[in-house]
Amino acid sequence: MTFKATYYPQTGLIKSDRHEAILGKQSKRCLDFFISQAGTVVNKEQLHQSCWGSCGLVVSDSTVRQTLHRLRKTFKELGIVDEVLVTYSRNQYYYSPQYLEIINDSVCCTQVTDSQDMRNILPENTGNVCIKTGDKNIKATGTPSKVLLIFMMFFLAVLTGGVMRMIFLVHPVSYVPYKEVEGIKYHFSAEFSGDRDAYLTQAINLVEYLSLNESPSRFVYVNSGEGNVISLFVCRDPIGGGKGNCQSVIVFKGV
Amino acid sequence: MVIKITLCLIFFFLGWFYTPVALKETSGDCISNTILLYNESGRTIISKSRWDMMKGGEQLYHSSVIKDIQEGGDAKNFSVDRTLNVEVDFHRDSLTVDTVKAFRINGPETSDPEYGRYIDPLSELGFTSRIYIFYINGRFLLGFRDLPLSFCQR
Repeated sequence: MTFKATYYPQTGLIKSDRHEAILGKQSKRCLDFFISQAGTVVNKEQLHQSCWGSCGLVVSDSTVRQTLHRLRKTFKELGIVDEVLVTYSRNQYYYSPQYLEIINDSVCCTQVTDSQDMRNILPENTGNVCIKTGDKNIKATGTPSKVLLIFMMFFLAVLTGGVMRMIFLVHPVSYVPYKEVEGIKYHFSAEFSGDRDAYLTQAINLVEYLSLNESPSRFVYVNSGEGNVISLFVCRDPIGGGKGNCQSVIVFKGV
Repeated sequence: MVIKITLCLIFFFLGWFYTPVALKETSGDCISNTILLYNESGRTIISKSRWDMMKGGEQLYHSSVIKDIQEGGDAKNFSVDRTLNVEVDFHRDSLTVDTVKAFRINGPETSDPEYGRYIDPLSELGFTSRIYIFYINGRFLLGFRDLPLSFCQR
């Protein structure tokens, strides 16, 4: 007898030379039931009872059909073109045992995790397929990595949203050094569009008038000279550096 | 796949809308020193203020000394102390700040005909303005559009 695929009931792994997959919880339970009933015809009620009823679950017929469809799809992906699960009339099914080799060996999981990306072999994984097996390799590297990946993806989405909002909300400003007068370095906003020399004179007068030149302030930043407002920052340290001891000076002209 | 994309979008907008909340919740106390200078014919008014913004940014303490310098050189000083509550409403690129409560501790009322208008406008009940947040070398500045005005000290 030549088997076309190998099935490991303890882990739910099913593989052939062209594909491998880990069966979902329901599919695995149903396949296990079919294997236990190999060679005999089983009916829908038996399937209901063995695959779900034994766990205290009541499901619709469409769930049963869907599970069988998934199993058949898996067999097809494994390259088994013949019908492993044959449907008879009046909702009766027959499992042909000659296609699957059953191996009771939990070591398989290690091989899977070593050789494949779990994301590719979990087409219908319900998240706890391997937990029952007690295989620590699968438990540690399989399902959690998928959950972690999804978590990371959502976290990244949140982060992107936050960063985008900050980009819109927070406006970067920069200053360019202009002149140094009596030990005070005057800077102008990079967006400053007025007559810098004229505003420099005003800024110098202002610093002197407010006696700010007597304090240890050594940096003056001119923000704007447009309209009726002159705005300066008079700082001890470069803006943004040190402790950021700055005084904001706003002059309303000709009120 | 569609569910994942939908969830990603939901989480994206969660980040988008939660950022201002997080920003408010994590913003610490902030002190800002401001000098307002009014150049008028016949006199100059200098208002030296200190703003204490409490954590969250919606409660402020304002303390200032207003100096009225007449043309002849005579000067008159008085102080203003107020506590106030503001409401902050975030927009895409800015925020609207409304002064919803203002309590006078010391100094003239805003309605004072001579000095009321020299009291920092933010400390006046009913003040509303679109405020922009600026950033430079790890520091946040607040001000009007393209015009940083206030520097947060810590």
